Amino acid sequence: MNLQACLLLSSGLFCVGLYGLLTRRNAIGILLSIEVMANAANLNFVAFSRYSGAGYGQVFALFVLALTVAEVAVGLALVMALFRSHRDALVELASAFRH
Amino acid sequence: MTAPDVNYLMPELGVALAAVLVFVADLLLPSSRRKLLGPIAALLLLAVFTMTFFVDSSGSDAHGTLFGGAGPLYFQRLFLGAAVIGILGGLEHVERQTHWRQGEYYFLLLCSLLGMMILPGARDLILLLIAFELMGIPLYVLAAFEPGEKAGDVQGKRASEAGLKLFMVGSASTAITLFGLSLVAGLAGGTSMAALHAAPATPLFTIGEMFILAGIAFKLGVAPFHMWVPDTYEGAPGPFVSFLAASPKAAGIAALCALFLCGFGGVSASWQPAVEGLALVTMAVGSLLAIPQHNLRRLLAYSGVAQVGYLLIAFATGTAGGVAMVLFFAVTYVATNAGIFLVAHAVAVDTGDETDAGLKGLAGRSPWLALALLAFLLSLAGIPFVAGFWAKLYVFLIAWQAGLYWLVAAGASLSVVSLFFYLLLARAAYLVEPTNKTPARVAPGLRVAIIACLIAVVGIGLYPAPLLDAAQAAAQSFLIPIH
Amino acid sequence: MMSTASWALMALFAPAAAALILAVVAPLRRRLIFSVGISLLGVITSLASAIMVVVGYAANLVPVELTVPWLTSAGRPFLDAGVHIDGISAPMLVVVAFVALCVQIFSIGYLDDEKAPSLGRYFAYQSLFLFSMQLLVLAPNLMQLFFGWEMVGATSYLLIGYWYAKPSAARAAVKAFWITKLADMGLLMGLILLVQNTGGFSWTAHLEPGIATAITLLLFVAVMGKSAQFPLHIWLPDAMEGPTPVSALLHAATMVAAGVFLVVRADPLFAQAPDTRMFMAYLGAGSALFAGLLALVQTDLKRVLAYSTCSQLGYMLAGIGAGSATAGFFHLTTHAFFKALLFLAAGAIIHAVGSNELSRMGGLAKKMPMTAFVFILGSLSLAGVPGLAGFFSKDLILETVVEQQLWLPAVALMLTAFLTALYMGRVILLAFFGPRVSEGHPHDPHFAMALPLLLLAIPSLAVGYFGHWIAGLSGNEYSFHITTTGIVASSLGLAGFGFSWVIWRKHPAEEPAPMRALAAFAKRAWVDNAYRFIYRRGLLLVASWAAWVDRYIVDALINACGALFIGGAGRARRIQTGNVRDYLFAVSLGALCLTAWGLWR
Repeated sequence: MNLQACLLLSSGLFCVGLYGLLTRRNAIGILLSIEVMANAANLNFVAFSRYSGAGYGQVFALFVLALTVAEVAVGLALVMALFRSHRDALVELASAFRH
Repeated sequence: MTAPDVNYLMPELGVALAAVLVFVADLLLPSSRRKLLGPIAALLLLAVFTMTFFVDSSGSDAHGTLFGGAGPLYFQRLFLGAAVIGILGGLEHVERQTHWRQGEYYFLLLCSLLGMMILPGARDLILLLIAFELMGIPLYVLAAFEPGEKAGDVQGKRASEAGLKLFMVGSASTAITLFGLSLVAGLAGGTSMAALHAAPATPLFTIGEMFILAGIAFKLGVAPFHMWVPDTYEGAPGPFVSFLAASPKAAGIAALCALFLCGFGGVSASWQPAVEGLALVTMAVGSLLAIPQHNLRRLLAYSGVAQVGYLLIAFATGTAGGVAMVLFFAVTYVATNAGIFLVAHAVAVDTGDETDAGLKGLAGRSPWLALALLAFLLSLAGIPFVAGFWAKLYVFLIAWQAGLYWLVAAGASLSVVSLFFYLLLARAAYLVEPTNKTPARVAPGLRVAIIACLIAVVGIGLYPAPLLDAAQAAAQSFLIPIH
Repeated sequence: MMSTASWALMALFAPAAAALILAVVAPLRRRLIFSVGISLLGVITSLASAIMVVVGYAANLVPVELTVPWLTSAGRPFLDAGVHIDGISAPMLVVVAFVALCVQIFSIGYLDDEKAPSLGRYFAYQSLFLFSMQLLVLAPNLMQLFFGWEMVGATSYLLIGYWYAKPSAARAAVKAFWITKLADMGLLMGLILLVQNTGGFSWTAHLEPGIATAITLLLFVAVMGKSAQFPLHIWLPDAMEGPTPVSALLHAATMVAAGVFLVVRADPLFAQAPDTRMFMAYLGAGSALFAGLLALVQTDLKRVLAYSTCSQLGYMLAGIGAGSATAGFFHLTTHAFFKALLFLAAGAIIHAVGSNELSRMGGLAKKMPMTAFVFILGSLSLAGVPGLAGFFSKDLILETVVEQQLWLPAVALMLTAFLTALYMGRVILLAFFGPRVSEGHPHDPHFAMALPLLLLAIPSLAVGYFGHWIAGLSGNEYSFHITTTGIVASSLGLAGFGFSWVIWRKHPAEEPAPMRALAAFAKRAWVDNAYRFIYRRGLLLVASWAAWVDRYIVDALINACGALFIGGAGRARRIQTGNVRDYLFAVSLGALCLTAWGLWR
């Protein structure tokens, strides 16, 4: 498997995540899609690192993992708040502010 | 690491220490004394602010990862000042609304501030990303920081919606940025700015740049990534909005400078047209959509979007003068917007009315509050002699010199359009008779914060030379090539 | 030991601090004792510092400049703000502060029946005016001078319109404001030309001959407005609606003199434009004669003095136009003292009699001996009676004009000297002698009003003997010696007094036939009427066309645009659906478009 193939795979993964981002109505689903997109980026980091022989990509990927964990923790808390105040996790329920 | 190396890191370390101290004090203080946490945090930050004038500003670096020097210091002073103003402005609100969780509020604010402090000096993608997220993640929590423990509570609904919208758009933008970062770092074969600077401009590299630009554009509230801005500003706690509207945007500018000038400075032709386009769309969306707004914070949110559009004009020039004007604009932007959101908060607290109707007859009730409002409005509209005038004038001048004629023309006509809604607010405050004559009650901390912003706006307006000099010196540290 | 520059800063900022305190702290403004005290403290500090400035400067005669860069352009300093002390600004500083002090003391007595809060406002304006004037005097460049100039104009508007409930006062304030603003356009355009050609605002710049003439002519237009020269003099008589101490400060000693000060200040520029100087000499002399004639037929005491001020300012400008800035500046100094004295004495009379009309006065010499004495002293000084202040400065101007062989202006100025004595003699005879017609029991003013009169009487007597010293401050030579010109002028002045005695001694109320004809012809109305004609027939006609175009074409377009924007924005706001999924869509689409745009360019 060469670099091009890896990049194609990660781009495909990114698009899958994007598709989920745009079609999911449930906040948890959107969170998952964002994770998929972030992991597409991680795949890139690791692939570039593997084919150039430098270690920076793996380091970067580890940091990204940690960051996304922090982000998801906060995100899940917010989803909980949404669920408590609106009795559901459908994001379109939170649309009091508009226009 | 030897001792002199640490010297230029003092501001960052100071803020980190302040965050820890506030956290510990929160644990130690009895609940009746928790209201001291805000003043403690503000005092600690003031001490750090004073310290910035004694650190080594020669521009040393830690193995090419984090730079000191005039540029980062310029931004750090701005962030510290804005944070002190944000804390002072919110003292009473935080104590009243979220008494039990005050320590949490200030700790998160200081963590976000620490992220900002690192950003302008970061010269490595990993550090830049961590700083960016360290700034961003606490903001998600703070935006939803209202008492809404009971299910179905109105305030809880508002706050959770504000936080959720900020988070959703923010984390999607982060994901896009991450993908961009992965492409850019991979193609450059390294994560340092020096490596990026040396990378050839291939189409894939440009795609990466654009993805990163989209992520920063979210933070700056640049159209079409701005849609969280009005909704979050409307729902989040009032004093926090005055912080959110000012500092993170300035930090976004710092990130933009660090990344696009130090990292992608060599291939500026690849991103300049995109920035120009963003500037145009942002100015238009901000100025036009502000017109029909009646909720004060919502209106100011759109006006802030338009202001960032003007700032991007200067950034699009990519020249030394243009960057200096970006930095100058950032300070006037922070002072003016922090001030006007605080005034809006004070009026909303006093009248219970969040729309522009709350301003009616303000001059008859509280002349000083009305005067502050007027100064900030004039600054936003770019009328002499307040800070915003010089900012707008210099941005247009520098863009004209750089040959961006159509952008200047569009910016000038849109600022005429924006005069419309600024002057409507001034009219409501000054030309409408007040219904009741009782002076507005403004809490002392809030008052000090508004006065500080007023002094900054009027002071810069009357005597802009020192700030201009500082901005010009600071711009240099983003333009020197890195090896 | 403070440096000269710091004293100058103190002289500048003491009144500013007083004005600021009175403006900000409302309770202080509402108590008379505080408002008066703070204001007086400001002006006394200013005067003391001004004296220190002169002493410091006179010690070594080296101009001192203290500036900070205020604006930068492309990294280079473009405009400075600060203080500049030389032989012109230092003595002017003292004159302004001294007259302001006298006027403020006088005001306490004069406005004693005003309510305390509105007096607080008055003293805040007075302090602000003093600050503006010192800002103008100390300016290190023409731009700062312009700022002071405009602030002086704005505060004069506030002070003339102090009795804003009185319609004539409000109208006069607006008139003064508009006429001087119109003239100020000249100053602004002159400055723009100057900065275009030299890249700075210095008054020592070297210019091409044509440009120099253009710039100086534009500056002179503003001078004509501020210093009330024909045909822009019409605001000054109307401005007499303000309180008399205000007239003494603004319309005699300081503000109107700012025009002359500008010419003296920018003398290096004017020296490069002989044509402008020639114009100035002729216009000044013409104005002097014209205003002197008008002063002769006024029935209102303050208006006589107002026209007399126009006339004397014409004198100064004629002298400067003839090439001697020193002569003009010297007369400016002496005139400030004796004209302030005359105005304040007139104020004491008006306060006692309760009217401005000369016909309501008479026989006051017995009732108000002290006032009569200082008024006559001031008049004699104004008329140039040998030995008094006005004599020396007037003599220097006449000598300069004759020396330059400007015969027409010289004759006009000689005639003016005669007229000056004539109209002052008339006023003295009508008000102080003749049958008593004044009602009530006029008496000499009490201490607060008497003290400034006596204070001003001293320099009105003596300042003429300091001519060589004042000239020496700016490095010029001056020594008095008796010449034919001087003898002719003083004889003409004495003849004027004699003439007035012959005419008005017996029947003060009856005007001789030539006077009636002059009054009928020279009623100042015709200049006003000319303006009104130009305004109605010319401007209004053009304006009505413009209004039509504006209403039916421009307004329609703007309304259409406005409706388009508001309607469009009203629709466009629907994009913001409130659903975060649409926001995510916008973000994705935005990133996609950005990438496409970035790749395509």
